[in-house]
Amino acid sequence: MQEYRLLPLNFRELDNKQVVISNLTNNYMLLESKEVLNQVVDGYAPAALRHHLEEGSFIASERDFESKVKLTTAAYAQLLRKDLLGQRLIMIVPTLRCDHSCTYCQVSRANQNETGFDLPSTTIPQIIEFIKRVEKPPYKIEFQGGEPLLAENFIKEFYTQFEKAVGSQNFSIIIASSLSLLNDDFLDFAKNRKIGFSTSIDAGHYAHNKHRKLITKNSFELMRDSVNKISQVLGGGRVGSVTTITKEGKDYHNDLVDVHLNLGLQDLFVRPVSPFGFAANRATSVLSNKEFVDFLRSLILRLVDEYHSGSVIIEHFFFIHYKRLINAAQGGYVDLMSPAGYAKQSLIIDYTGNIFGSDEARMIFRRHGGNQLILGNVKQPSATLDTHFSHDLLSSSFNFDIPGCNECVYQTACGSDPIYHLQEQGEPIGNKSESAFCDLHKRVFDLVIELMDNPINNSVFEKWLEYE
Amino acid sequence: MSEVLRTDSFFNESLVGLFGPAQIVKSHEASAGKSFLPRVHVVPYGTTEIPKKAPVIESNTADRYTAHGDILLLDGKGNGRVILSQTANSNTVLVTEQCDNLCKFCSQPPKTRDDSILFAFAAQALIAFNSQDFVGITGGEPLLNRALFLQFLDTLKRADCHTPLHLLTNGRAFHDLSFVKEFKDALHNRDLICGIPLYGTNSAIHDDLVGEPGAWSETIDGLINAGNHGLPIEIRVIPTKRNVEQLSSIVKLALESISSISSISIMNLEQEGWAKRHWDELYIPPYQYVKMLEQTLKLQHRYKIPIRLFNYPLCHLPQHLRQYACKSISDWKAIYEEECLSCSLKSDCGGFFVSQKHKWTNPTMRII
Repeated sequence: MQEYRLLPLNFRELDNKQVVISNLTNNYMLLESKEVLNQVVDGYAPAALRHHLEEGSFIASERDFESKVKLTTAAYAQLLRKDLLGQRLIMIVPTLRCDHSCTYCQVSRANQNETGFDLPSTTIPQIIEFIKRVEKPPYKIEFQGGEPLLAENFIKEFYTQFEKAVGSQNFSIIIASSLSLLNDDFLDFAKNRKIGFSTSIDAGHYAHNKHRKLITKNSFELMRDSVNKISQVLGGGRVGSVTTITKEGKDYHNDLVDVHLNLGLQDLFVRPVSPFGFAANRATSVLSNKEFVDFLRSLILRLVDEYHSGSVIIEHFFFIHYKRLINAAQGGYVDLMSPAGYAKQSLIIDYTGNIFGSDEARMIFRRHGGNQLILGNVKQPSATLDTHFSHDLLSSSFNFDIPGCNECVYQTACGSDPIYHLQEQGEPIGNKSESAFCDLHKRVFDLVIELMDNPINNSVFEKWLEYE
Repeated sequence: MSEVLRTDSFFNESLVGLFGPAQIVKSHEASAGKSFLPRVHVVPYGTTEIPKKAPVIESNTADRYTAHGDILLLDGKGNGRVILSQTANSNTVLVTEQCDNLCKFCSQPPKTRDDSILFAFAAQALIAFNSQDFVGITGGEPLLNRALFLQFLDTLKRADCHTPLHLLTNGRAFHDLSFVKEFKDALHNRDLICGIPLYGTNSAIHDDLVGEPGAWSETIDGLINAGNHGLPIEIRVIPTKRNVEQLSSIVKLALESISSISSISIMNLEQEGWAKRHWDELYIPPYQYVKMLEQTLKLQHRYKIPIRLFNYPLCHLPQHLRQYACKSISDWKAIYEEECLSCSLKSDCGGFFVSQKHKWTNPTMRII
């Protein structure tokens, strides 16, 4: 191609002076420098790059220009469709009571023996009716807390009634639990039922017990024993983990991997301390985004090594960013969508029966109030969703036309979180140059680009896709 | 006198004068079914109770390779060919030999004469055969005469024939949005997959291979429109010397832009028709693009859409790619060379095209 026309592109200079370019088809290319970018833009793209640029819909011959514009539009429509479709995760908080008092707790827990913090089991039929009304099978249900295992009778009763109402093939249940209270009776119940567990494992034994506080100071040991018991009694593949990275844990990526290897867990998910809700007050252990991403880099490189020595462990926070960057089919993640996942990809029913559009929305409500965040209450007869306010929030979460997002190189891979910005800046869009959300995700995408550029890493990430 | 020309083709004097589709009747099942088509009895050699009503094909081979209810297409001169067979692994009917592309590797080069009668034959055959399995509709370009195709769908519907169809089209007709809508309406919920070839990420390569300037942009429009209307699409790519460097990019472009793609097929070049004439210019042996195949096949894990290899003899593929190969060559087109007889994978292998017999195969890679 001698002469070409340029299609619209966004760009970003990385720390090492390389330049990432992207377009609405969600194709990415790494250029060596700003000078190369200028050559591309000025019509003098290096000959060796022209094929790649053309195949990525960055440039087109005059004759193909119109078709490439149509293809770009079609590709972008596909991206939007992916974020618009999909199932909601429906979370239920059967109790706010908890045996732990974690330093970074997001929710404001209640003590184990308090009353008035439980969802009465008489609401179960109403909850089931509500779920059937607003969502289609197969239903994905997650029990949150508090500590859901303090309400194990509620969970059992819900399971039994739900199975009767929708059929055993049409749902799966995850229990987000510290697992400190898991007993044999409940394990027995989980046998032959579609119940999985999501538990917290922090980086470093010390950091885990320091932040995940029990009077007995043995949260880690209790979790470890329970995970082993689950594997023995229920078999593998029933437990996933969530890791909160604090200052005390930031040097313990190897420890974290070893723990997962020892427990036989394939999937982990790391996250920085949530800036939401009550965790926001206790900033002492909070890492900077840079420290967090440095941790993530070390962790991923260790997991690449593990893959080469025969162990598959996948870290999903990084992997979601990778999948969104390469257009993968299963890149849906409620916190990173455009339009946002709030209310359309998630709903949470808290212990009062109130319905919120996301876990974060319930945290903000607990801390700041804001009745508009309540989308309904399952105790109301034929409760539906009051989506008036959510609609406004969601229309502020379409990053195609949000200032700061519209020209970002990661726009098509990234998402927007109106609830986050409501909390951080008092309005749903926010100034992206001051947004910690924006800063964090840009850094993670930069990390993806950096690590993908090495074929050894990239081939492992490609292999991880086969485990989905 | 009966003569077996190929396992699916027969000559029989009693067929002289019969023209168009006919339905096979096996004597022992003669009572079953009432066909509106002319009936042709097929019996093993030496049968004593030959049905009185001619025509009859008396042949062991014909008997072995046909089943009661199969459809023959007769040429009026006594030749009959089985076009719809219950024992074949796939069935295809030809609806036209006219085409608006002139692909360099076309296996059935197009003709210009009016052959619209083929649509009538195809409709009769499909209605009589009444298959619940997919039947291929091929050309030529089946959508060249759009009105006729819509009528064809309408005829099937009125005859209560629900056979699912696999339509092999260049997709250009779908660049017209109003036709896509008419097409969709005419389907009336019939299962139909469009097999649409895409040979390049740009017009320069695609148009050159299909011999028609402007074809690529119409096919792209067609793919977008068909996909947006929810027509399931199978994308077909034939790697040649001209486009093999683009193979993974073609597949990626399709998967990232086109809605409702149900599968991707990578098709090995068939040495048939015009491909023979352009063989040296186009054919590239698979071992020369193994890396590209790997890169392309990996995309199925990213997009969660199956990508399969068609018409690749297993011995032409490295072991780790054989799992993606389908046994795809039509029964009568498949041959196995003498060396193949001792191959442990023969039962899983599609073999070689019969047209490739005595021509270029690849003896060095035989026998596994």
